[in-house]
Amino acid sequence: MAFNAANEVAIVGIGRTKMSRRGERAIGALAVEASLNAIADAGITLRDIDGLSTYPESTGPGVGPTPGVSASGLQWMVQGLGIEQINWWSNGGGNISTAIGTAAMAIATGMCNYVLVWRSMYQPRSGAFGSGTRGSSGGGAPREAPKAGGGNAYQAPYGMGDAPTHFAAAYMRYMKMYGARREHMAAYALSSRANANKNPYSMFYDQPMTFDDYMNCRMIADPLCLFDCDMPVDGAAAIVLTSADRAKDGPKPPAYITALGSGGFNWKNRPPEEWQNDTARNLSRTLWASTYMTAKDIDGCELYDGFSPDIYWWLEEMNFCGRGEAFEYIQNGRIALGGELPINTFGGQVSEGRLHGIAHWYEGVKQIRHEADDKPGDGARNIVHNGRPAENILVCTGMLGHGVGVILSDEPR
Amino acid sequence: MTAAQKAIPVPDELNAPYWEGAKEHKLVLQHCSGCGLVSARPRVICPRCHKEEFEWKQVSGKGIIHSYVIVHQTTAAGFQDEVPYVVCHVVINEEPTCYVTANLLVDPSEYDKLTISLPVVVDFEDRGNGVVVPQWRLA
Ligand SMILES: [Zn+2]
Repeated sequence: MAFNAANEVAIVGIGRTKMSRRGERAIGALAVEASLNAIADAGITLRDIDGLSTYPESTGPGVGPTPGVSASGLQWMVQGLGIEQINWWSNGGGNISTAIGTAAMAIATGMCNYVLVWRSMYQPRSGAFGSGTRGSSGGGAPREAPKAGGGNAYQAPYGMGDAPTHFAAAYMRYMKMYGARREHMAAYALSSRANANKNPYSMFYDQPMTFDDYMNCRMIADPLCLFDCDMPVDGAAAIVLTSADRAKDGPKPPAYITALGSGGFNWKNRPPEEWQNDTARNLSRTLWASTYMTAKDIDGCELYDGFSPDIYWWLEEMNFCGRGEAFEYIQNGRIALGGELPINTFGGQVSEGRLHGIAHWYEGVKQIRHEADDKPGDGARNIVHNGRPAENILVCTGMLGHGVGVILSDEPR
Repeated sequence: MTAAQKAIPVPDELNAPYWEGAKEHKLVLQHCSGCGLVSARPRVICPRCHKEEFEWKQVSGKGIIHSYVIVHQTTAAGFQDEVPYVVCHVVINEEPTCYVTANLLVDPSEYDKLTISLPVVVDFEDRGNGVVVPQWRLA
């Protein structure tokens, strides 16, 4: 069983906001702005939207306690946008990729004509990102010992709380197994930063990085240094999906979903870091089963990078190289713009900011349209191979079991 | 005392034997009565044979390092003044799918020697007020 690409779903609208560190504006206002931008970009009106999909509804990463102020779940967004009627909605899944995947299926099965997908991110006003949902203390020194129940009883008493303390372990194991070193990861850190320096939306637009900057960066959870971790921000982005038939009517070139795969689960995925390989592995198996294309047909990738070693899991499991080879595969400019397989042409989350996956989809569409611009029209980030603009872009986002990846193409395939 | 600020594990109806065992300096884990599967975190049904009966039994307390992290910056309660410290995932000798997570109690001068697959043994850290947590040490 596999996704049937003959159903011909396309992304026809994209929108976003600027990002900021603990910004002034309500998160709901950012979500509305990004959504209206995406709807306008698709050449339709709000009333054409008859499907809504987002992640998460009320609690989860990038969500604060107050709907509208620090969250933009579906219930709030119906009010924020002023939605009159919809034919289909979803606020489940494990991250924005699953919200997009189910939206594609809703279009493919005829449940609705146009689905709006949005994701907003709220940077916690104190404490580390992820600490609220993972049960550590948050910012500052607590006066009393917190109580840790359930699964957290096995983590918080050991100083496991912030996300890096969870995600660094898989990278440590990888380095020890295969001899990868931080010097190897510098290739991704520098290429993603160079791309971000061409992206005016990036938090690091004006901040280049040198090899020494990366190697001297302070450790958070060894082997993850600060520059291996994504940058928490306030911000939002949105996309609009529709059927291929309707897509042809739009003002912009559609980005057709020509393959789609799903992340997955395995009961043996403990400790938690073992999820990472398996998410990509299952996504790879199901994505490649849905198309005649192979890794050789891919012109560039937008790959989820909450932490930089995520790039290794994706490249290896998606068949660009063998297991244990990604740290060498990314060397010598291969993944930089102008290289054989440009990756995260917008800077990725480590160098643009943390929109928790949806910016990867936004950029994938930009690449298929050949409008990945620094300044409008300059095409500064466009992927071109021997004069041929990108035709197939692999977008994979998700982590911890949940995940959806697609090939975005300039034509149905 | 920084130690007093560390999060306190609160036993529940599922995992109480684990923490009671720790108080007696025993690593006690849940074993499936049907197939013998040993689980680090208690289950209500076995994923391998779907039996619902379990026994709590002491294990050898020996295993090997699967992976680890050296934490240098944290917001975790009680740990800000203890960096660097190691969080370590250990595969116990009795069961290849069973990972027991704890700190690896090792001096920072030894960090260079750490790697995966090193043998470790369980130890127990008494944090006062009746709180005892399993920990790992290099064997
Ligand atoms: Zn069993």
